[in-house]
Amino acid sequence: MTNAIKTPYPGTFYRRPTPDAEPYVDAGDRVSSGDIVGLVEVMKNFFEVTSTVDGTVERFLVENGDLVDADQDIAILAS
Amino acid sequence: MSLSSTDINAAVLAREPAESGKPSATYRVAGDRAVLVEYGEMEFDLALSFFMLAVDDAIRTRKLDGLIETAPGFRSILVSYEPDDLQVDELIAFLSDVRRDLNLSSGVQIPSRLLHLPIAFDDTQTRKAVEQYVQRIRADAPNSEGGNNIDYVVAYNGLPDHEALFNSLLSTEHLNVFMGFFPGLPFLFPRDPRHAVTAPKYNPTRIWTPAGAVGLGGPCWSIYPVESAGGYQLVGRTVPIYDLERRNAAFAASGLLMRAGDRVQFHRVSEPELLELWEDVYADRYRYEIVEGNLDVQEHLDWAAELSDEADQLREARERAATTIPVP
Amino acid sequence: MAGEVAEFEIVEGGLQTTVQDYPGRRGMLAQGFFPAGPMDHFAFRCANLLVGNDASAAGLEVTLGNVALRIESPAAIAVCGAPAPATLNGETVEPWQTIWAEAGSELRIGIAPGPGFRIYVAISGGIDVPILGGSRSTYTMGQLGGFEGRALREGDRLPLGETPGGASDALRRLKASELPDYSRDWEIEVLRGPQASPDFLTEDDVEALLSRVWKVDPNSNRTGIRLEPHQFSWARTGGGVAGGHPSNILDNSYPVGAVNVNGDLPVILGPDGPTAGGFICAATVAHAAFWKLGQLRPVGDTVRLREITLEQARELDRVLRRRLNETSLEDIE
Repeated sequence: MTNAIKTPYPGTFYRRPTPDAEPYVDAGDRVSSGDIVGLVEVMKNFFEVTSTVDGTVERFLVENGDLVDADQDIAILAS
Repeated sequence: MSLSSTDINAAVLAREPAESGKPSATYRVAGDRAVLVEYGEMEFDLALSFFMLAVDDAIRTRKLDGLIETAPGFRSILVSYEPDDLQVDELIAFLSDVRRDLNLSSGVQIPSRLLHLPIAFDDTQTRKAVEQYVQRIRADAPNSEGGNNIDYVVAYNGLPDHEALFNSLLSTEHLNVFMGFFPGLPFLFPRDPRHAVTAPKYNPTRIWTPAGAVGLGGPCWSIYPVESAGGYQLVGRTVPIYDLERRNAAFAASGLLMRAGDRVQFHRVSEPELLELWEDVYADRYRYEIVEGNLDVQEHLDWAAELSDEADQLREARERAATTIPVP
Repeated sequence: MAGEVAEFEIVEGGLQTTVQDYPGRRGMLAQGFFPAGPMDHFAFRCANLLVGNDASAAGLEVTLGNVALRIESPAAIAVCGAPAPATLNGETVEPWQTIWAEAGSELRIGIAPGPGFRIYVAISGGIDVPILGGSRSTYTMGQLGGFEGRALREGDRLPLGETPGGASDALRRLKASELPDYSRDWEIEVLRGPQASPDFLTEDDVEALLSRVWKVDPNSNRTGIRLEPHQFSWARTGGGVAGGHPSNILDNSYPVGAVNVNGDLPVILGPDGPTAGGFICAATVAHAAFWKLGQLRPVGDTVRLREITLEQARELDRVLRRRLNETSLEDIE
């Protein structure tokens, strides 16, 4: 069974806190509920996207810099 | 009303030519609830600002049903109206009458306080704003080479060094012709035309500017009241000019330090001194030096006219220097 | 309720939820204050109408959704604007109609999936925050007005005004024929000017401004709707005394809703935007069309600007006013 991490925010999705930093999370990493998995930039602000579930990231569905809409799946978790 | 029907188009409702000492007027569509009236041509001439201020004052005195508010510019006034109560034609007829009836011959005085404000040039905060701009917005902006905007403004005006630029700001009073952009932000123009400098604005604009930053855009100096976006070239920083919490007596009336018509005289302090002043402002220990007074318009214009030959030569030198400098 | 102030509490604040009133803060433009007020003034005013409030009553502007509030005393409420899943005590709430909320009711608004981006909530009595400069609107850039000059957060408690004679329990809705059309591809009516062709832009530039399908930038907000950079050809070679770029002019005041061209980037100035500056404004959104700016979703929505005349703008005013009238409402059976 798989779970998805959703973004509650629409905007530009980033996987890193700054352009030259390491990604928050890579495929294969374990995440717990509350962990930051990315940032969304919208309305000149940055919002943290956190996981609401525990699991291992199977893959990301959006790339760094992609436009995402609210409620969109960001990554698939293998529970 | 002597409106000419030539040069009228979808954006321009009416034009009136210059006559008997009065600058021309252009009435522009600014949506369906405002008209922008411009006086004279687009040139840097404080006489146009004084004319605008006199018109603005006359509009407030005469009043007109349906006219909501006026908001000046350097040589223009944005007049907001309620179209249920006032037709645009009636508004333009009213503005035309105000212009016609204006009598500027006798010694017009405008209320004008003199504010003495400290400035620390090339300070850490404005450098930080430039650095952030280079990193996050535009790496190859010619106005941000060297991690500051000062080098660029110096070159653009053909000045020998930083000190010459700083001196141009320190050597004359600046007149706050109007306020806008953000609350309490003054649009400052040099009274002594020999100390005019100019600079293109950022392209694209900055996303962060520290509060109190002092910048130059076109021929206009300004002070940023709050942390905000911005497009002016930054040279230094002064004390707070906006505090809605009213932590200092200077903000008691409105939270804004400045009023339209005020004059500013900058004096130089070091950055550590400035930082101390910020603390003193908020602790209500610092007393802003504000001298009540008036400005005699004709006296100013006569004085500026005497300096105009010298000012023209300096302007031509600036313009020659500018042609060799890339625009952002 | 004698001696007790009616209140409601923010349980979840969402992306940006602010107190606004219409028409916002007028008369302070010359000090640098844009009016603030609801971005979608149609949905906002309709919500006030449905709960029997004065047109000047303050309500909530909710950006995107994910907001919850608990209403401590009985009240009529209405949710208008972008379609979004909403519940009152777990029961589905229909938008654009009056709902009766008993004391202690919890209103939850989920994410608006689009079209539309902002949701408006009116509560009978209106939100009774202090009036500053003639308005209760929140002006976020100046940290002024509304509730502590900021967007609302979990735990904020806001006072409600009195409803003379008690809240009306008449339940009504906006007739289906009067509902606004929401889209992902918007057409927005503008008037040309103040600075357009032939003196600043060429005819071709204005043509391009009016014919291009502009994508809304994610960094659009209440200060402005950012469009996309465009290489205008310009009717002049530079900005003259105002600066090097032909978009530069000697600084002047801007009308709200102006299509401000700064450098190569057109930005439509919003209700919290800059009141003045040194860039041309090529067109200005008609007042009756301004509400559409509040519903532009900053992820993928497009905008086309359609030029109208002053006479046509007056006609749009009349149509909008007719729709914001008691006769546009019908009783719910």
